[in-house]
Amino acid sequence: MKKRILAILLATVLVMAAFSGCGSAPAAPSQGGGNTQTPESGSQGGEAPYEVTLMYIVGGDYPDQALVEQAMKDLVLQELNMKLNIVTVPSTYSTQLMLMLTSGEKLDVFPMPADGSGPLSYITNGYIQDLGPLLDLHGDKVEAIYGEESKIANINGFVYAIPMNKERDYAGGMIMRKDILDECGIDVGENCSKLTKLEDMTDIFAAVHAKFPDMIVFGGDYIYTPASIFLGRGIDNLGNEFGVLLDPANDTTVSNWYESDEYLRRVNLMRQWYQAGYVQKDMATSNDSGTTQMRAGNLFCDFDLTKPYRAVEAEQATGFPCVCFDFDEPIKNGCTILDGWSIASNSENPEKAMEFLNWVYGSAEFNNLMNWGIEGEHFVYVDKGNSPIVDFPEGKDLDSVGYHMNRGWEMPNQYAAGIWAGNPEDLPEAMARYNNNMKVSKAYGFLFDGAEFETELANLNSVREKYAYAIGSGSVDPEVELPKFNAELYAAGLQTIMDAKQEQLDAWLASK
Amino acid sequence: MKIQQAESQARPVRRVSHRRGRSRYLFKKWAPAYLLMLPGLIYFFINNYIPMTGIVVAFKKYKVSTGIYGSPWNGLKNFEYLFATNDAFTITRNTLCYNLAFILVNMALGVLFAIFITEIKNKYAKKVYQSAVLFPFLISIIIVSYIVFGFLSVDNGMINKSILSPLGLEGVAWYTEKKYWPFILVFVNSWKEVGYSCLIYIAGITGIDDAFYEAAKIDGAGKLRQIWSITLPCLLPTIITIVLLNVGRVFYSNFGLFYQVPMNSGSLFDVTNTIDTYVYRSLMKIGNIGMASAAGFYQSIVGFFLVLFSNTVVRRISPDNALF
Repeated sequence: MKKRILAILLATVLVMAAFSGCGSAPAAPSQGGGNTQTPESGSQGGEAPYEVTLMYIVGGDYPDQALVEQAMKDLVLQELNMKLNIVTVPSTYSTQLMLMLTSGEKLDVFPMPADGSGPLSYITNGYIQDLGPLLDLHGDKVEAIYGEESKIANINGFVYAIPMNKERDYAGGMIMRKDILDECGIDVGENCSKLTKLEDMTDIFAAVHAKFPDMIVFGGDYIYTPASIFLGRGIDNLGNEFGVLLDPANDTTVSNWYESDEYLRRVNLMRQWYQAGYVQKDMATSNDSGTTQMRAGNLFCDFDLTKPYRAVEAEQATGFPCVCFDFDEPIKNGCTILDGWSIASNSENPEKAMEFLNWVYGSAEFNNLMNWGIEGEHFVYVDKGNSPIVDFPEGKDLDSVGYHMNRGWEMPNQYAAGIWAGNPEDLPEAMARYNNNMKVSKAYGFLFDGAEFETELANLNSVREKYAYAIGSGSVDPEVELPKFNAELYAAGLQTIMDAKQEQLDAWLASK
Repeated sequence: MKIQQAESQARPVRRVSHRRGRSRYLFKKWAPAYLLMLPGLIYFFINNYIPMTGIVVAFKKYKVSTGIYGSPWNGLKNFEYLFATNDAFTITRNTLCYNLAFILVNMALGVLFAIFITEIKNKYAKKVYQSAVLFPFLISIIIVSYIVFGFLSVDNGMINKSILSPLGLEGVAWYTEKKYWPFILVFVNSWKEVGYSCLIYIAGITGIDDAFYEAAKIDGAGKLRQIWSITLPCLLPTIITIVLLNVGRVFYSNFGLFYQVPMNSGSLFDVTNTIDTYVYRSLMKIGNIGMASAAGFYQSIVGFFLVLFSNTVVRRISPDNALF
């Protein structure tokens, strides 16, 4: 009998313990039910500051992160009367972002990831707000920067983001180590002016390979070869690489990139380099970026998407003097503005969120805080008032400073903030010139709306994964594999997508 | 049960009161046990049963703003992409065949290793071998993929550089040659997983009564005879349980093994693409929750019926060993 009483007691205690454990998270099972919060309409009644949640990507663990966040909060409270919540995420943040968006967690402003699914999925799944009407309300700072192009990041009129202030297209470029070039006695001229086409690289590769047989001549991450890359290339992708404009400045016919002469040319060249032993043998599966490999010291050349002063950036990142040969002509098109700042549909008050975002685009102080930290503590203006150049404070360097992001491309407006020492003072102007002098695609401002074609797009993606990198790295014979690649693309519905794209594009052009 | 029935037939009048009294007695007797079970049941209900209603998302055009239950119905459209291309056959074949191979190989090797290890007399050596077999199971698949890469890398891999090239043989481009991969994958999987099943079988063997072996020895049975006639038959229930559990997951594949170990190499997709990797690759860029759930739904339904089916088969052959 005693035993049984003891057993009952024990069981009761266990049950109680289990329930008390439940107490802290009673809502857990119902969270899957989605967003049940109703957005509070209208203003917040004046005094109570709106709580705005900002997500941003950090480059690492900074000791002074909390200090900088506090400074950002103080600044926002003081200037906008808003309470700022900050969520920091590492650069592989797509999954975390997806979780926050799908679980209905509070989030207002976040950077749209260009690596994952692209804006279309965010729109079709209803994760983000249409910024168009919001920009009409609070958009003066954004308009001051972009003018007529403020709403350029749209699909079918749905403005999904405000672009980050940076280059408007990527040109493909070959980044080479200058010291190796010199040792081989190769003169490429000022800014590689003596090189005109991609084929010119063959002789350079041959010379380097002959002189340094153990060195990997061309290598890097598997996506980054002239033939594997799916951005830039002087063409307009119209939202995804299935059906493109091959000569976007003059022609609006949608065609298949993987059947084009230009693609064939690049693929054959890669194959030729691969067979000659210039290309890293495991390129098709390599995950180490060219920068990392170059810094390690055994790589001569890698491919990357470039912009003005790319060689300076490469030099800072690899520790070797570099030159950059831009062989593609950049062209202003809708795909490069995939990266931007968006407002989540979880936002309780999108108007307030927009007000905040708009203010950020105009605030030098806030962009400085995000990128460089607190003035005087983490950076100083070298010649305040006369020059935008900033540098480490006296006695500090990269290792001892408490906060240093140096991720200008992620900032809403990096050129409102200080320009880091080593860069030319006229970087903003140079970038503006670069953007303004660029050729413009006839479809600039158009992106394909593929909401009805998700089955085809899913299948096309998997076909692309299967062939693009093996062929693009030269590790398989394009004469055998390329016809198979295209046949499978068509079997997966390429023609349907191309027809739909053409139809949407024609309608868009007619409405202009 | 039979006795009880006979009893109740013989004395129908007393049946009711007797039953009631008995069930009350049974309840009283087992109440603490039920109470002990309750937290587990509640946990199961909350964690495993309530989320099941989320299955409807596979049939919906999911929008986050309206939630799972508010989104419009979409019929079977979410399932289309799984069967739209020829890949449907490839991925189903790969998933099924690899898993069947894994089940067989792991079972055979697991039992073999378990017998070997239990036969070792030296206590320390036994511990060492047991840990050595288990160790790979504890390694993250990412690390495993780099260990494999260390062997198979074209430029610097151990096989190409230290084995084939000193023999004067041409190096193999492992990550673009399809024909080797079915063996590589089965090998890597056994190397990694066999320790775990081995552990369970060791526990099973240790549970066998020593009296059997003593009796066998007296009758003059040798080691092999003992293994064949005592160890294996006694281990059979354990083996069947583990195989049944694995059969239920035959439509799921170990994502890390099929994605990380071949380094996501496109040329190998014909022999490395399984349902999980296919879904991941297709939807990574599209982010459609409905379509992803459709794939999960398809896998669980097929897995469910496979368990029912194989359990029925087992029940036909040897009813004592069936799970239910």
